[in-house]
Amino acid sequence: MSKKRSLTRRIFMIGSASIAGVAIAGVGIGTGYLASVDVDGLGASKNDTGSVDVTAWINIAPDNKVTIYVPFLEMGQGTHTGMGQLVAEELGIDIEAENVSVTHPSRELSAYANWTMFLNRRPEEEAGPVTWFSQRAIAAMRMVATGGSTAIVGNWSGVRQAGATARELLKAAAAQKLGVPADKLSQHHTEFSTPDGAQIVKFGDLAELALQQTPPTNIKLRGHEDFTVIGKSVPRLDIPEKVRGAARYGIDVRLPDMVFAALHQAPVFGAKIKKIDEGQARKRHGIIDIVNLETAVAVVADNTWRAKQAVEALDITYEWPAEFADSSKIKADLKSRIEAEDYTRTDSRRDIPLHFEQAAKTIEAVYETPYLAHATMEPMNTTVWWKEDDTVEVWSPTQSQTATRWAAEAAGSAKDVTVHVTYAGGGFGRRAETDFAIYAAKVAHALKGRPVQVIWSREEDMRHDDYRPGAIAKMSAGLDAAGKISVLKAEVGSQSVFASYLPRNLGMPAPASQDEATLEGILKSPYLPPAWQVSAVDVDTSIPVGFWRSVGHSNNSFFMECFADECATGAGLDPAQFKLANLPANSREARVLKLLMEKAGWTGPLGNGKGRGLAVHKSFRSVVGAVLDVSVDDEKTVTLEKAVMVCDCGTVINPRLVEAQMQGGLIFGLTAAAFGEITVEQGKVTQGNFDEYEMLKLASAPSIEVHLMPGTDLPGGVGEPGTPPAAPALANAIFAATGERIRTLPISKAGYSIAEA
Amino acid sequence: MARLTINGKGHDLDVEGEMPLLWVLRDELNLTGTKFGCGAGLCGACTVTVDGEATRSCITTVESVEGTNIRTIETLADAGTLSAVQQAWVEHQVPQCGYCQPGFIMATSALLDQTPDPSDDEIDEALTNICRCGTYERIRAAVRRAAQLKKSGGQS
Ligand code: FES
Ligand code: FES
Repeated sequence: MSKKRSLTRRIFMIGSASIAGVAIAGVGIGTGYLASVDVDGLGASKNDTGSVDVTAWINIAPDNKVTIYVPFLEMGQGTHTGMGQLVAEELGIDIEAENVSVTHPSRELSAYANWTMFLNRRPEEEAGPVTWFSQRAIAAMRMVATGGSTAIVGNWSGVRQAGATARELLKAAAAQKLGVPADKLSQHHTEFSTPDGAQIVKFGDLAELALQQTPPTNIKLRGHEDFTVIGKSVPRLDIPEKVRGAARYGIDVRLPDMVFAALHQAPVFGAKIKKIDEGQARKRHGIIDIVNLETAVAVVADNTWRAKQAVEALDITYEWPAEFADSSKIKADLKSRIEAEDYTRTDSRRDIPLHFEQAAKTIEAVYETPYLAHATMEPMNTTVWWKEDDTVEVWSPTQSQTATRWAAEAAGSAKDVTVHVTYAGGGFGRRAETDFAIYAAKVAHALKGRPVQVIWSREEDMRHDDYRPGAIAKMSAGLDAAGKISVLKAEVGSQSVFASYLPRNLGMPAPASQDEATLEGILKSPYLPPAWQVSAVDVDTSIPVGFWRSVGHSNNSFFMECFADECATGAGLDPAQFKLANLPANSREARVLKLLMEKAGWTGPLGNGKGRGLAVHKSFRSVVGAVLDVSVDDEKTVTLEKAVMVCDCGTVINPRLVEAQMQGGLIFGLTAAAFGEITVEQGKVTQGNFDEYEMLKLASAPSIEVHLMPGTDLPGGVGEPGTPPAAPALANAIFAATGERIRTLPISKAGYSIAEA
Repeated sequence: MARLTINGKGHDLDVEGEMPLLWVLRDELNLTGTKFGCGAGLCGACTVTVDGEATRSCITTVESVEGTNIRTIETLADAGTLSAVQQAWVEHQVPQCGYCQPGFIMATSALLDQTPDPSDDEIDEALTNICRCGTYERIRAAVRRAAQLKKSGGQS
């Protein structure tokens, strides 16, 4: 097994451009072995607690309790409820009933592997041998992970299939037990009854017998018209415990004899700890140990505060890196590379210079966005219990369950590592990283026998994030006499996320060519006319970058949707009309825009210091549009008055939950556009806490009205797509109100501030 | 040594007087419903009530609250029945990740105890907590609903 894993780990790559690479890994593992991998997880098995797993997704206990396994981190997006609804729909149970609950499984099964995320392909898409090998290679490694808004997308068919299979297995068991043909039985929640109602048997009494039934083939899943759970605003299952303060996040894990550790990481990217002068630190009250982690120091104590006081008292000397990163220098580098056309990749159609020559009007603009921190509300933390016999248990609010296990395995000679995934206080991509788990595993290894919780302070969290990379875009367009875009050129400079993430977290090489994250949202934009060029430039720096809610879309929607607004101004047209004219009439974007104009009552300029901004952007298989109304006073104080959003995410699983994700996604994007900026000077991040990296608050938040496009298409993602329209809607609204075009984020750089109500 | 009254119960604690209340609650008493967000009084995740006043426990030393009544989210529900504020939070499906919500709920409880029918401005002034998930729209609606529930004689 371990040999197989190291083989696959070496060749494994992520990103849609790399499917062939994963497929080659699959061929390397061998067709026979891969064919035996249980990717569907439709079987039943008894587990050691006496309960029965009827498929990989459903557990039934003798006391008739049904537990739905959801192997995706619940970090606020509502995946436990949404995924639970898919199961409940076909299993035929009432998801709100007392005896039903959802939990994140500690076991990593092949059926849980998130190949949809890694391959950027959904199961319903056409599958050839390449996909077969890729999917199974990832399943063989049991790559359990949460991200890319893929839980529902990747499991829409498979999990309903599992629910239906479980129902049929249980029904067959009931038929056997009651001596009545299965098709004569009726089901009420978790029991079956005979036609006369005289005999009733519960799931709990059937589960063992279900093990012996043959899983049916060719089950027909319910159609949209028959849905009773899908499409319903089921209350979130996690809310009751969350309002009681009883929900356990990573930071709330408590174990017997547990201790706490505070961390101080070398303040400069690439620096190491050279020497720790402990002084009197070990003599302080409650201090248990001081652990050198090479790039950080941990102080272990019986209380988090004592640990933190002590770590701050240490006198540490560092080994500095050869070069110190600097965010303003990175910007200058990217700019000059764009000027020099020093592209790492470029795609184009038709003769670009010729089309610019022929254009009636040309428009050009350069946009800039900053580095951003995730700033999840719950700072990074992980608890690890490295036992004397080298078995290891990890409790972590992680989006990367499997990579976290690997991280713990690598921290010492661990055998049998189990990762328990807790609730997370926000994730937004930050918890796809393994750094917080690695530190915790190392401290626990040094402390063998005693569980330890390693907690980052807010400042550590802010200064040692894996940031959303800043970007620069030079946008050029030619318009014809009628005001249609005839040629479009986008040159985007940004650090590559995958090149940073893969070596850091999965021990894999950086992709050979610049990843598509830099260009997503531009490359396949419906605005692209027949003549277009989309190019990227990269920069090499020690600043770690990662996945930040909506990833490259967070930059590129700003560039595209602001530039389209500028083109509209250039053409002397209303932005909504201009966009509508330039989008293919049958595109999802055009449909969303039309509904948005109707719902927002788009009638043109508002006047009187008021402005409305519009943006529509597709990401993660969903299209979201927003109209934002602002008013701006003479002091450049912006009041965020009201937003109207339209979301087309295909089939809606839970409308109220989608509404929440749209609202939250927009606030996330507005917060960044209003205040967000991480600067790096001399290799150090300047910002440390929420006074320097501000957040939008209640008093400043606009009201947000959300409309969902009705539809029965395959479901798209909802966790991320609400964010991309925020920044361009804000910049466009400020332009409409003031005539000043903001091309550099955050808007505070142009002297704008946000009003508190 | 410090003596604190938390959720109506007295505790003798072997802690430094300058230790923030937050860490006594979380690490000494395992009352983990009160959250750590910033440690600097900036986010409100650690909000408890001290003699009925919403208080950020991460910047409140133990010695400054001896002899007061401290209340945390854990006992807001009375014998299992949710308080009016908690009920309103469920009705309006406020929490996303939920991590900031105990702080918001405690701050709202204190607000409504003092100002049963708060104006929008009063709500804005009292709830300066941060919700990174952006649940503000529903928070505002839930505060209004909680005020209503309290008036109509629900639990405090
Ligand atoms: S943790 Fe106390 S205000 Fe943020
Ligand atoms: S619900 Fe996540 S921070 Fe408020």
